[in-house]
Amino acid sequence: MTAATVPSSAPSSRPSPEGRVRGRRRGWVVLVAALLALGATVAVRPPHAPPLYDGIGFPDEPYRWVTPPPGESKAAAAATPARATIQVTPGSSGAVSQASRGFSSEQGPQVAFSVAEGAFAAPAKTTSIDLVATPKAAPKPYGDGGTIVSNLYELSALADGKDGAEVPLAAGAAFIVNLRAVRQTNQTVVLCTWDGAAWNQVVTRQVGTEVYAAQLSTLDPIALVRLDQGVQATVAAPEPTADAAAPAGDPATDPASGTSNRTLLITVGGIVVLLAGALLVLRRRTGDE
Amino acid sequence: MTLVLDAVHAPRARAVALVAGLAGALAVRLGVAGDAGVRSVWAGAVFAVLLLAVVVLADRAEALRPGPWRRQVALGGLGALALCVVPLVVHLTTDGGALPARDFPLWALVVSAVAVTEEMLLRGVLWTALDRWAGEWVALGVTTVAFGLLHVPLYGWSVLVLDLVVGLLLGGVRMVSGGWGGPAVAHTLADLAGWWLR
Repeated sequence: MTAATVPSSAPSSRPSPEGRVRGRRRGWVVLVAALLALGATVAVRPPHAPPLYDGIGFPDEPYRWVTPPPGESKAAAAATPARATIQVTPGSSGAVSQASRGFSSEQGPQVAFSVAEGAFAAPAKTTSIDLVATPKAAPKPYGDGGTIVSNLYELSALADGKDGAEVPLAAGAAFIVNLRAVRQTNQTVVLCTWDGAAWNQVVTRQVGTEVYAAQLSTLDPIALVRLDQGVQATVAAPEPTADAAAPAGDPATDPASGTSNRTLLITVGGIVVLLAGALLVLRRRTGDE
Repeated sequence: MTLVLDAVHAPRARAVALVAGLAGALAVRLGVAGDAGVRSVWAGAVFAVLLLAVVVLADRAEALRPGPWRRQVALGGLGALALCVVPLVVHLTTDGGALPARDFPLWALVVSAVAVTEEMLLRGVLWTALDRWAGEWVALGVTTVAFGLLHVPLYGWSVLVLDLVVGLLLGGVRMVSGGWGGPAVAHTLADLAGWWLR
């Protein structure tokens, strides 16, 4: 029975002492190769947040206000900007800005953006665009009907990083921004732009527990506003499409599944686990052990 | 003859069942997490319990046999040091703030449970089944790819390359230490270090 359950042809079911030593030597080779690959991976693309090799994500740190409103406290660390250097390449009809994204450094990021290829109307001979979302204090309260629940973020896009060389968004460009609110709420939250005199609502979609996304057509300063109970947004709710979604790769803001998808996942996943468990039990009873 | 054939295929069937169990548990986790995504403590706990159930159903003895403990702890510690290079780089290049301390105990408990049960499955019973079926290199390849893909639904495609490399490193720790305890120590310590090194 033993011979039947552990066939001699099995590659390494019971390695000899020499085999174990060889296996360990191979293991050291794998370890060295993995270390080199790890160094190369981090050097080529440094992660924007500490990775988990699986577990649960980090909880958000307290919101970092530039100037905390009444009732809020100032965090020890300063709010950070989100930055990206966007490469510009020559195209058949002029300079074309490449796709890019940026995140601020908080856990989770208080601001993040994602731009599609061709999002900026880059002047000829531009080689890159420095895109920055800088945290500032809100210049003015929202007024009746709402409360500002984030810093103001000023957006700037400079050709080759030169002061004054502002680059506008191209017509119809896909420039998506995510802002994190100070805390979760059941009330309506809308992203607003500040035009220097007034707040203007933008079509907003919730993409995380306290993270909101919008697609912008200008680079005006932005902030989140929580509307008072009973106050309706003046902009239409967006259709549930992929537009205005979270920048890819941000664990805190990956788009959520709908309720039906959740039920489906739990049901299908549970069935698969049960079937796998049944198969494992059957294997044991039919001589796997 | 039937018994021999049955036994030859047994590790393969076990490996397939284990991969299916892992995929199913991941689907349940995603469903339970919903909007909270990877930050859902409940979803993480459910995931760990399901993985443990699959491991115990596959091979209780293997689950209770992480390997010679001194070797596991020593090599796992070394593996953790290597894995902490990434959070250390991030820590030194970004302006991190303090996370809420009251969240740490529960977070650490669930993170540790998920990391350990993942290693029990991947570098424990699945590794053993694949090793018996097709050899150590196949075990290394399949568990590395499974580890990389496991994270994609939670963290996005951007983490795939990094997690493949980390999976390779944990596989190397498994080969050198001769048990799943080493990878479990490395994985858990590296995850926990993320809290302090950010």
